[in-house]
Amino acid sequence: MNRDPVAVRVYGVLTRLYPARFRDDYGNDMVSLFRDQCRDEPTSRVLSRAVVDLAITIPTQHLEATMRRTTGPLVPIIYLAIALAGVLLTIVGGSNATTAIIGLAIALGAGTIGVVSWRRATPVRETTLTGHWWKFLLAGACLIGLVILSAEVGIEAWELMIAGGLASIVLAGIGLVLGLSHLFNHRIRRIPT
Amino acid sequence: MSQSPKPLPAASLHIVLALLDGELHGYALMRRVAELSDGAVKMGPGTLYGTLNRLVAEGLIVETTDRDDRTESERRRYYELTPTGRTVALTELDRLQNLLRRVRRGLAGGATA
Repeated sequence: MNRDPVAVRVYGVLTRLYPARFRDDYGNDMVSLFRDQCRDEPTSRVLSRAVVDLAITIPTQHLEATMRRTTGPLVPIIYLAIALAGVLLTIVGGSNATTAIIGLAIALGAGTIGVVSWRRATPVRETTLTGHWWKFLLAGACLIGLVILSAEVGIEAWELMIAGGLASIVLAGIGLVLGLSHLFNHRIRRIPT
Repeated sequence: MSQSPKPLPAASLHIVLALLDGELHGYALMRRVAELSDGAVKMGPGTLYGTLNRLVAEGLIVETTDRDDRTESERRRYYELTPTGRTVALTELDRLQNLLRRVRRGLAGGATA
């Protein structure tokens, strides 16, 4: 009889989503490692980390199995494109609150996974304030999404909404300026001296 | 003149640096990475084994035999750096040290300016 906790058994089932070859090579080791993690840390924390890990590594392994090479930033780009689609769905969702909520959930979920996977896929480099440009841009997009959602569900706090709208424009603007500055700095550093 | 190699992605970098001390099995490796990064980097099983798979394919690490006497179902796989992997890890270490030196020099310059 399987005496593993439910979380470990569920994780074992989810590892079947990996490509067969990868699963055959590492499936047992992964479940064993997950079991060790659950023993040493609160299961909820291990599970939340495992969900993001599965969301990033399952498509990565499938793409690598198909392309037969490393995917580089392809997976983060796919997730960020899905997040952008979520933002667009929220904006063009019309008066339907359900559509707006679904759009915002997609944007937040896919955006978070996209950013985490991007950070994992790229080398460790010097971080500066300009390196955080995407956080401002993401915060601006989330805030405008919230304002739109509030309007859709009929909240009539217009002063707050106007303030939120202006704040989101400022945040997105800061993100854009920092992003351009970051890009400019990178180009300067690439010039050989 | 030889061109400097492309920097390793974050997960690969943490693993090769963790293996500089010697061979480790999956869970010990994950804990070593967490310890080296002050708990900031906690790899999930998918990231860890996906990266190990890639590093084995690139010839930077090799799988070694289990040192403990276990049953087949409990057998743990150990990993260690190849000579190439050790060179890459030390090159990366050098790159990070240079980076820190430049940042510190910049900070010191900013403080005196």
